[in-house]
Amino acid sequence: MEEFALDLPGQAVDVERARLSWRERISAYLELTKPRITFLIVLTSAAGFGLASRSGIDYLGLVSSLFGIALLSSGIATLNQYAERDLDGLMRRTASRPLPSGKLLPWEALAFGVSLTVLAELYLLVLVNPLSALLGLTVIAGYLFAYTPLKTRSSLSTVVGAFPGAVPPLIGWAAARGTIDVGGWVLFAILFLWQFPHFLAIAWMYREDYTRAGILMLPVVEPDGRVTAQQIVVYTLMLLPVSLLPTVLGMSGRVYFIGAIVLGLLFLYASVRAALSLSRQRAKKLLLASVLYLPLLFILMVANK
Amino acid sequence: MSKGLNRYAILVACATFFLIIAGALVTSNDAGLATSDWPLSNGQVFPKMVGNLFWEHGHRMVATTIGVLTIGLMFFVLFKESRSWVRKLGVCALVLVIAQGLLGGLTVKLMLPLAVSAAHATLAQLFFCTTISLAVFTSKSWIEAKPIQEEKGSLPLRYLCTVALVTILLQLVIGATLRHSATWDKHLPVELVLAHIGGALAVVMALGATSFTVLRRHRGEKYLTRPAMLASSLLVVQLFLGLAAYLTRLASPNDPQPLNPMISITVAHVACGALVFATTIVLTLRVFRVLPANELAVNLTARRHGAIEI
Repeated sequence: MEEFALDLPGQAVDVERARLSWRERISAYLELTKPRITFLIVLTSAAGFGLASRSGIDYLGLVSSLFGIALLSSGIATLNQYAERDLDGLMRRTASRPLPSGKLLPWEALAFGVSLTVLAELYLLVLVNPLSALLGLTVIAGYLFAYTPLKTRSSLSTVVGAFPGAVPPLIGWAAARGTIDVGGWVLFAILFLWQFPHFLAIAWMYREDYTRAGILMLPVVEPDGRVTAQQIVVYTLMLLPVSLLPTVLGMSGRVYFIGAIVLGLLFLYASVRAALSLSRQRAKKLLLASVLYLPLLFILMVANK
Repeated sequence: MSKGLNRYAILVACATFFLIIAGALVTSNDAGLATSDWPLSNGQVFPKMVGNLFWEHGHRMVATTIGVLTIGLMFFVLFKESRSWVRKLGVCALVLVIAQGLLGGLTVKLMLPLAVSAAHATLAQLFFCTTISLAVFTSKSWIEAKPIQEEKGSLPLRYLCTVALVTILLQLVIGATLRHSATWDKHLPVELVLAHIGGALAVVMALGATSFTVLRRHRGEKYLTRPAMLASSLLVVQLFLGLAAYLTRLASPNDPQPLNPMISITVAHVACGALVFATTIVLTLRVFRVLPANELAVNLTARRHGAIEI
């Protein structure tokens, strides 16, 4: 396969790549798949599958669906890094990723990403069900064709990106039931709202990075942070009643109801504190609160089914 | 160049889009056999528009209008256009619309056989493709377009666009076959559903790669980036409409008759599919217009010198 020069200095890249051992190369490929995000996506999908299962969980079906979803998430994450390799190189937070750092070449990431995505879609289509594959396609298109190009054009990209971002539990739900009921949409709504405090906290922490790369996140567009603070609180506040709907609809029990209130209030507390000061430290705590809140909420929802 | 001809060609293309919607409404309302008569409806030129006859006869009226408009388009092209290949395309448009009308009649006379109905739906897209092409070829931007000499890249954009266009056309054929394979009260055949979703994946990959390459290689060239962005944006909308259409169609066998939102969402999915096809046609034609034909040779030379970009 030929070398693709792109905008990276060819020789330096070659030297860098020549130094990589097989283990380092595998680790670079693994890094492309954004394992932590993939894990969170698999977890929310598992919750969707668990809640949609009517008479006991089909564990083989669950593992099979999660495998397909993990492949899809890994493929999309890789293609996203391929598409944003120039921007990633401009930000400190992402400069060490496999593509901007030159550990892997763009065509390697492209081939890896396309293979994973196509394999995932065919897997979901043939071995899970058509609806899960169709939902997967909306995530691919929404994330790669709408959210990614919009990031440098409008701060509304966060809203657009929140749609494909909220689909994973729906895929889990569709995998278990073959259709989507109101319960699936409630999970979608929870994940949709959760993303705003989560991403705005990240955007606030790394706003200088985003400014350098020309990514129009809200804190970049309005540096005083007033609207960012408002949105963090408003979305967390909306999340609280929506997170209670699973009990209202009979999907989960009372323990979940009480747990969701407690978790929601704690999350709201972290949001208000972050909104009041908008310091990097508080934003970091809000980010931590968000990544703890979501898995705990979903685990509780399934456990108290 | 005639500004009037271009405006008229755009009018015919827009009217054809409306005709596709009218045709899709006939299928979604299961109104294809509202009358078994053709070319008259229940023996009348203008019957009372009651029940499903509203959709079927309405479609025939819109189609007749397009037929008349296309006759006008052909004469307009023959009188105003000096390029012989555009004149031939004008004649071709009329032949296609006549064939399409006859195929529509055959569909009714043979009681909606799958092959004929699907062929009618496919030929509709090909006729639409012809009217869009005529609108592009007669435009000022086409005539005044300057070739872009600098074309870097390992894969010629002409190839990518052609692959995307053919993939979309095949997907439209599968979609048309799927739509006509089962009425609202029956479940869709699984094999065709799988093929249509697999086709959607192929379109996502092909059109995604094309749009991404256009935006990366020709940033600032609005002549190419505009249709590329429009096509990929419409594709996103189309996938969400496809999901919604599938969900509503899954539930439709329980309904007493074709109902909304299944009808409107499915028709919107058909219409948006036609728009994705149309924008990809515009992109492909423009790419062929401004990028040199010997692009591959240029690229192979570049590749030997190690200056390849993807």
